[in-house]
Amino acid sequence: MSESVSPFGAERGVQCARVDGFDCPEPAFLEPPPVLGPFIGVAGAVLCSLVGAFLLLAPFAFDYRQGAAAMPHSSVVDLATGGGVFALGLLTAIAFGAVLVRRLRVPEFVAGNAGSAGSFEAEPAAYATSGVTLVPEQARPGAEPQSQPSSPPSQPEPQPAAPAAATPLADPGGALRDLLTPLVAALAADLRARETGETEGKNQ
Amino acid sequence: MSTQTTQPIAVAAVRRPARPVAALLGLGLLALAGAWLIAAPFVLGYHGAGDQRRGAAWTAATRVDVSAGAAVTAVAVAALLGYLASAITWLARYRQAE
Repeated sequence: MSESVSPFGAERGVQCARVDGFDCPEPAFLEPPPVLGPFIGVAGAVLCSLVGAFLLLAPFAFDYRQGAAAMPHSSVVDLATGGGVFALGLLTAIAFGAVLVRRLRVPEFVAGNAGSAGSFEAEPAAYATSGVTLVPEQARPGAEPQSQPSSPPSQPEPQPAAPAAATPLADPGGALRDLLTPLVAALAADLRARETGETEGKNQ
Repeated sequence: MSTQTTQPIAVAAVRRPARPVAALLGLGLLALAGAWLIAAPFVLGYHGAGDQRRGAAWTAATRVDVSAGAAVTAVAVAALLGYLASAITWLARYRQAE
């Protein structure tokens, strides 16, 4: 019996659990990654680095020395702290930018248990190729064992397709190719029919 | 006696993103640097020409240091609070079941 089971239906984070060869639906339900926080961090770090650059220029712009032979301590403090703030702001902006790019690049749709904590970098190949993998039900914690009294043990049910064929999630090129192939074929047939018609017209 | 066969189940999950610890630490250090800029003219006890003297009117260097330090501190603390608020909002919106 083909049955679709959704034990995590009410739980957010786990979107699909099907048995008996059913493919998961299109991942239109993916949670958007949190990108506002890194964006705020980038903006704040860039502003801080600008203030640091201002501190580097301030001793010369406001003429702290005022004709004195030696540079006053305030200039030294401004230059040192301004340089530090400038460099630290740039490093922080780069770090937040890297986080932002990482979160925007790949949908964080990885296979495994929803409750397990981990980072996006834990399984990069999992969501780079296909967002869904087939795991045994018994390997999933908390899953109820499913008994099949009607089917004899000597005839195992056919296994579903490979995980790569489950969803074309991370293959937009393949989806585009599937979309354009019939259009190109129809265009070629149309051109061929037109050429055939012109040839027949010339012959007549 | 029921025979249990291994049923393949497609389980797709969304994991919580990793915390940008280094970036958040950078923002914290920026806030501390701004606080240091505010306090530096009075802590170091400048004695050179053009330096801030105790009880005297603020020099240009002191005004610049205090204003820039306040700006750095305010921006860094605001960015930290903004990141915290956005993270809490995301968790409250998508992670209620956990």
